[in-house]
Amino acid sequence: MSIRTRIALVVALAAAAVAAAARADATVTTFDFHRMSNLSSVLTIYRQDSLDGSIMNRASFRAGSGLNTNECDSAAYDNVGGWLPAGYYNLWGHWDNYNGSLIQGRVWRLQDKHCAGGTGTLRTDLFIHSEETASNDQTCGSPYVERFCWDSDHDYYSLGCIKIARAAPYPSDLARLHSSWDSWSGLHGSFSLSQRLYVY
Amino acid sequence: MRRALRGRATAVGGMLLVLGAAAATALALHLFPAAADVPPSGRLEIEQGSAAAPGVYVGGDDLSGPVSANPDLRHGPQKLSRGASSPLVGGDGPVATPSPDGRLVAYATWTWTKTVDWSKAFSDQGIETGDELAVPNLRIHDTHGNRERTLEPGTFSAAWRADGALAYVHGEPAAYRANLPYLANVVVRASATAAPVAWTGAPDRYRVVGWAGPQLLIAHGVEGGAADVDVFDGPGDARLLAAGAAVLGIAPDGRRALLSVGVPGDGGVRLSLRNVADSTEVASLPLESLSDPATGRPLEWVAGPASWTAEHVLVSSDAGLVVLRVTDSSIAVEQILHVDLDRLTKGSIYEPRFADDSARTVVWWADVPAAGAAASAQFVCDRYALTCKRGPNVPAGGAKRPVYDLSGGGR
Repeated sequence: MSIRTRIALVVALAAAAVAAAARADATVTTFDFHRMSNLSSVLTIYRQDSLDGSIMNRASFRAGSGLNTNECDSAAYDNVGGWLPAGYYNLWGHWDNYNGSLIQGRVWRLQDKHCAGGTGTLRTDLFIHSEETASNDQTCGSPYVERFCWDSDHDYYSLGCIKIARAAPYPSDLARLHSSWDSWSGLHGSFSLSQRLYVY
Repeated sequence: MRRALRGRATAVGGMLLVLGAAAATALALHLFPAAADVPPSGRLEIEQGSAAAPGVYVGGDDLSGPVSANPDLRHGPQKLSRGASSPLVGGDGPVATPSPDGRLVAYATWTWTKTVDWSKAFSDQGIETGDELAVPNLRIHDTHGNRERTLEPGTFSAAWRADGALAYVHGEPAAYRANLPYLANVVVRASATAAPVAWTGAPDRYRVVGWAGPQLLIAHGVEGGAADVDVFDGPGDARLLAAGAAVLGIAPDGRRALLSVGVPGDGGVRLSLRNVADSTEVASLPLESLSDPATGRPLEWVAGPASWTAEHVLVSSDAGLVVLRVTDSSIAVEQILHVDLDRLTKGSIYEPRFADDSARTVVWWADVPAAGAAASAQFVCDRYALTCKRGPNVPAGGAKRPVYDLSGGGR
């Protein structure tokens, strides 16, 4: 079964549940993340038909994850982590102005994930995010705060999250991703959406 | 005649050359250590085979140490009551730590209270954010009597002080809950059987790194970013050792800690040697000044937990392994060992340790590419010969992990 077919099947199943709750919503918005390298993988957002999973719209972006390719390597306490573990993820929130101490701005929150490997590590605090402030600005001038300033390809590195660029040409990849989400889903705040991200 | 003179001149010149060469050799021997004392950087050559690594190891519920200082383990392996596992620490720290005399081993266990299929999303299994999924629990195994006792539920991340005091974290609540950070207090028992005393006032993302003499080093996690390192001088008496940093290792005398400061992509990383007593930095080294001997690329990261023997400090990196020479006031590179991480491992090396006092034998383990179920393997290397023996693949959960404690000072 191809990845896309599998996603279509999953989406159809998930959509069936969603459709039961909200018949008016005929589409479902999903992501997949194709791990290729830490600095250059591909994040794709899809708008799919709720009933048969067919793809109505899609947009793909360069994205990064981790500092190495070991999905069991947690960064929680040594600041070196591998890329996001493979599998299906719930989305459990989206905020435009998230105000964490280190991650801010437009973010999507992912469920925790257990890796497949010898340490059995639980990967936690997982997001799709970029480097911007809670007010969606950059701190590339004065003061310069690197974690809120996207100024090089090295910014694709993460401690395990998926990172997407907030850089020229504008609108940035983050802005385009967010625009697609707003147009196709529009959900904000805390929620629980099953199997909305597939990582492989 | 002229010919004879020329011949004598040649002979004298030859003698001078010989004397000069001898003098140069003597000078070289005086100025530089013998070649055998300078391990070369380069690519590690790895072949299949088995080598009995010195030390104590835990793999699942097997505790073994046929070539160790523990006489009770030299006779044969012992069975633990439960398999050792610490998913909230992973490879960032030991899953089992020996008491200063080696007799007791505090090891982490993990009990799932709900069956989770990790290939699926949470909500497809009826799991909501906040649901209790598992409970960590430290156990203390007495290798002499082959007996065990269990500490309170919600405990892991242990380190022994030289006098036998035991530090660890205690979760509040005890259970790991889906999608919520595991918040814990740091507690210390004066001995394995003494009552626990809280050293922190409120639960947070704390993990115990190790003792530096009487002081306790703690990793203080932050959502989605680099942790800070705190020093506790006693209950409630904490200060910052370094922000946005990770402890690589603690010096054997406990007076200094080697840190990795910064995150790749966020302005670079540097190694920082700090006095634990006052948090001052005594030496630093930018990581970008180190390069992979096989590829020539600057190193992007190094990671703990380090192994620190005399002045030699062993860490893992994106090149493979790095041996640093760290004195009271300096950090220098001694050796960089290239390991083809993409081919031999799933992406990184776990818990490299010096296995002998001469810091020649190096033991590490890794998740390895394998058809079917996830697998791990142990590697035993001679860092002077640049050769390694790779043990057989074992199921990932049963990999032999070293039993060690990062603590320094009087141990």
